[in-house]
Amino acid sequence: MDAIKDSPHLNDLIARVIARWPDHAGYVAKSFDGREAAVVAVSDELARIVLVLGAGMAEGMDGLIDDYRFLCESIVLPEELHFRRHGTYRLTRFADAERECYANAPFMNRYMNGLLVSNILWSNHAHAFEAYVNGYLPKLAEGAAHLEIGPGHGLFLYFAARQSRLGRIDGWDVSPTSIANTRAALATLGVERPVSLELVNLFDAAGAPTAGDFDGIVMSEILEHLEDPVAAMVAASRHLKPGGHLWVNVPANSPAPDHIFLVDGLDHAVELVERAGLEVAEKAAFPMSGVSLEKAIKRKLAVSCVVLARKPGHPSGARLRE
Amino acid sequence: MDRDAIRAMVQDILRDIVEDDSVVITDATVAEDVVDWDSTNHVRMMVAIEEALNIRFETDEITRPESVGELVDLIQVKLASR
Repeated sequence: MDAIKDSPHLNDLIARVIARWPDHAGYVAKSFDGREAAVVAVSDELARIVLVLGAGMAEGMDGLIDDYRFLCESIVLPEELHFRRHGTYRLTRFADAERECYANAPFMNRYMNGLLVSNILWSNHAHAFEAYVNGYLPKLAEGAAHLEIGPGHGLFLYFAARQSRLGRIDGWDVSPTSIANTRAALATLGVERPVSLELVNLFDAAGAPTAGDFDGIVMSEILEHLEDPVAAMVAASRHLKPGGHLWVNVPANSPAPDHIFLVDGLDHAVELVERAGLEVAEKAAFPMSGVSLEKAIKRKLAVSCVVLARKPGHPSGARLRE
Repeated sequence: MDRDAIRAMVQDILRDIVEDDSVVITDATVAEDVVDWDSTNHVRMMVAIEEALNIRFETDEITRPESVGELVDLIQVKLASR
């Protein structure tokens, strides 16, 4: 794979994945075929991080790779089957996803571990991550306040924490387990600067910390887990300064056991953001591995939809770069 | 349906799924032999076979066949029990 010949961490990670799961070699080759240098660079850094996190886990990197295979074969595939048969996600209610997934800690642990690797090996995940690193983060100016809602595995927050110019970094989640996982990941990765991780229900305005609004808020792979993603974005935008940015990454046509809201493409994602009263500044769609965007749309295959939106109002108070 | 007819039908569906009319399969063909016959397209193909033949695969049967020959075997079993 020419695209990654100068990427030592990627080569290490991929060699370990293929040694553990030889049948995955073809998929991996397809995923990296023609991957742009900027995306490869971010993927290489992600691979370094995931190798560090894997080494610190009880089952080591082999266990992490097994969890990634579990994600592909045992978590996603049955849902893909339902989606292809019916054109819908299997579940539509948060309570059902909570009962089947979120309340099952061992399952969630394997699921989250698998997603660590998917951010590197799944083309749509890798491209969306690069858009966050090279598109969203550079827009935050000196002293900017950044919030991630649902930081999960902590990879996005880690990259934010490396931006020394940021004045404040927060992560909110409704799950104490998720907060603990994020905190542990940041500690393993050696993050020393303060990152405030708090148990906050976005819909509980009274419980949300409001001291100082945010210049940028990230909701990555959150909306598809909610019954009412527009309401979630409305609630999130209350914590944005006028002119502040909401960066949304939502997968379309991407079945998973805890995906309950079906987004059918980038236009749909944009429509949701606009219905939340936000102005769309930038948008992009990244197809699943080995498929052109045109084919992905035609076949209703998974596409990561990235939207950078702006809260209306005079941006005089927002710490943002042009 | 005899094996040849089932294999021909699978070939037509697979050609449609991977958008390549030059695909030719035999009992020995495996997914790795066909460009774009990946896991997602495999699921799409299996669902298309279900709809074409009015049969239903169990979830664990979706990935069980390791070759076209094994898939044809499975389809014959499903047709016989329909």
